[in-house]
Amino acid sequence: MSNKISVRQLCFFLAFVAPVGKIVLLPSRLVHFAKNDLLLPAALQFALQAGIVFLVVLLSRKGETLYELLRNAFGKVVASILFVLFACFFLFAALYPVQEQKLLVQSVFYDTLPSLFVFAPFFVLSAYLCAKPLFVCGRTWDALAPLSTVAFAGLMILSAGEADFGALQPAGASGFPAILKAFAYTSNWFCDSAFLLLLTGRLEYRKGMAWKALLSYLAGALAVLFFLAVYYGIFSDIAVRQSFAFAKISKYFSAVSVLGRVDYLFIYLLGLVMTFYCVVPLQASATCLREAFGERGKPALYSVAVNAAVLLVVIFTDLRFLSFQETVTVKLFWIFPLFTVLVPLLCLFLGRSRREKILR
Amino acid sequence: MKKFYADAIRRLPIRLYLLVAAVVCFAFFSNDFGLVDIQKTALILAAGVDRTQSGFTLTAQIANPKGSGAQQDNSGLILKGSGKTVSDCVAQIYAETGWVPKLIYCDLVVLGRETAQTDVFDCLDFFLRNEYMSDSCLLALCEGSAEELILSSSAADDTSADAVSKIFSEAAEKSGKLSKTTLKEFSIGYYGASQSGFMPFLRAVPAEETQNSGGSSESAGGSGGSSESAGGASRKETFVYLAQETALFLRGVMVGLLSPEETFAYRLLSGDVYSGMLSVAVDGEDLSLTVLKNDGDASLDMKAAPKAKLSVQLTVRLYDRDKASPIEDVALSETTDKAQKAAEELLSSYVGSLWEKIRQSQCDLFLFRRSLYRSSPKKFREWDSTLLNALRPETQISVRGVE
Repeated sequence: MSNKISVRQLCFFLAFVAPVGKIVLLPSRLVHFAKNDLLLPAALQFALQAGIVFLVVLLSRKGETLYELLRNAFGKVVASILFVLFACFFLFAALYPVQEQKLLVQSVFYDTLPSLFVFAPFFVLSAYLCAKPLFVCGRTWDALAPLSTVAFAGLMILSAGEADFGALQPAGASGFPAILKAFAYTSNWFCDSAFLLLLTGRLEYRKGMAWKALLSYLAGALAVLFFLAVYYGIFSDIAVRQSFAFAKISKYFSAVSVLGRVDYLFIYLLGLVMTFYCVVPLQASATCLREAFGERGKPALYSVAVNAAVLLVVIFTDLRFLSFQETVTVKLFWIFPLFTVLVPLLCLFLGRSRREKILR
Repeated sequence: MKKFYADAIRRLPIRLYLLVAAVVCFAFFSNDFGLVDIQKTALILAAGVDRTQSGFTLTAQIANPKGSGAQQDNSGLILKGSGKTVSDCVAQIYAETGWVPKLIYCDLVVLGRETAQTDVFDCLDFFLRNEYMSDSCLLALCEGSAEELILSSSAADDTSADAVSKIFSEAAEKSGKLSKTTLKEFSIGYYGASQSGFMPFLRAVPAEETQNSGGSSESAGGSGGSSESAGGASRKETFVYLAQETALFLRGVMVGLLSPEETFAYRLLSGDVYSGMLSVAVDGEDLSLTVLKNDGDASLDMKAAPKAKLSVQLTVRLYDRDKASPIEDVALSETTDKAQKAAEELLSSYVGSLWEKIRQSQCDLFLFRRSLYRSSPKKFREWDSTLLNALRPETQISVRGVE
């Protein structure tokens, strides 16, 4: 059994798993800032990230992991310090998706506000996955991709007919500042390139892999953009009120009123995929700690440390979600482009001689 | 011995993990999945909201779950609460009765006539804010108070809420006799560029009905005969509900009322009437025509002077006459040119009357302001407040018989 992630698995992640993390609270946040222009900031984010994804996958040609690249460039101590910083970033990046998932479970799967405790089993699964090596993600994505495809297609079939796409007009009405704000303050949903950076050296690099990854990412991006258009077409001027969009858009299909909420089958499937997607930054954080501290600690220890930290934040911010959201997405938004754009770009220059740089 | 301890320490994280997982799973599965006890839950099926001097009153028709062995009385229960906000009313119901009101199955919200004198969103926003309530619930405005309507007994169904829900069926809407709206649609209209919306206007009309509760009769829909008595006749006032009129709203305030004819014209202009009935008089004879196909459109034309293009194209068939007819006429059911012309004239008068009502009320029923905003925000700012007065209606009505 290979301990590397194959081209197929990477493409599955980018096309079918990563997009589902962008259909819960992102749509209403985009509308909050950009109103009917929600597609523009999202498209800009996707375009930027697609470029970074392409370059990061290219970096895998060398076959060295990010830690090895950093160690060769700056020495072991600096590499370990940088990896602790990476671990902190991934921990920070995990907070919002986990909160998102918790609110989703409480709001969509229960008909009155349940206790915080109903979300506790998530951490049992997360702790288990975080103790595993990173390459096992590939097998998870193999299993999740068909579920995600069927569920997403099902929801779109049920909801696209109900959408009034004219609601997206007039384009640009919210103004450039609003679109820019929406672009900046939704950066936390676009962390996939930083995660791919950690997969450097763990990918089974083949010729054309970067192009395949790019196309897969763009396919996922198109699916999300179509989802956003349908979402705004259905809710129009009250879209900002509609959090957990993917769980609501399909209920207006005429057959649903006769048969009942059969669409919940798709919603549960997507919820399952989201659960695994939420764990990805936690896995990344635990992996960074493991690499930074070498063999001095057990994988389980890092897994428990990372999950306990997130659990504490979840408990602390349980009834403070709005201020938590403001802190992560607005006040500290700049952290995300730092690690998802600037750091990957800087990493491209690692381990290259001056001559190589000129030749390429 | 040393090896035993080393092995135990090595396996400790796994054992701890399994122990914690077992405790979490046990606690999770013994929590009834966080669900509320059904016996203490008031599943609100319909809610009526009335404005009072000090706030609102909420009258809730709730489902009354009973064990399978219990005598079934389908009348349901009515709970009532009052307070400064609608949520205060819900809290009062909970405090005074111990029932936990749940809105997840609430399919109908009825507002009393007084409630619509000022912006209805001071009470409707409660339902929109509620994450656990469906925004596809139907809205209606009623004559008098919503409490009276919810408390009234239906002549045709177990509860007034059931009866009202039935008249709001898809088939009834298709017939063109009423215009229904949901919380979502009304909210989009209210918060959108048009700031307009509509609700069906409900009237409870007494139905002359005497229920002989003695002998073998049973309560309507009941299976246990719980209303049987030893003898004598008791008279109980029952009602039927009409929703053929339509209340018009501008910025959440009721600004006009469409008659049944104007409501029919609105439905025809919306273009989704099928099997609707139309009665016309031709040469002193009354004919009933049924609509087989309806193409309707109301569009804005801003190319020169602002125009509202209103068009209705119907394909109809003769359905009935008020006189005995030869068998050939019964077999063919053809509509004559005269009948088609009469229908066109009749519909023109309906559409004209509808347009006049829209102009007077300034309710942007056809969402022209929204269309203008979507096509040109600059023109929208220029025409926003004067558009409906400036628009000149251009009506095109065509009625054809089946060939």
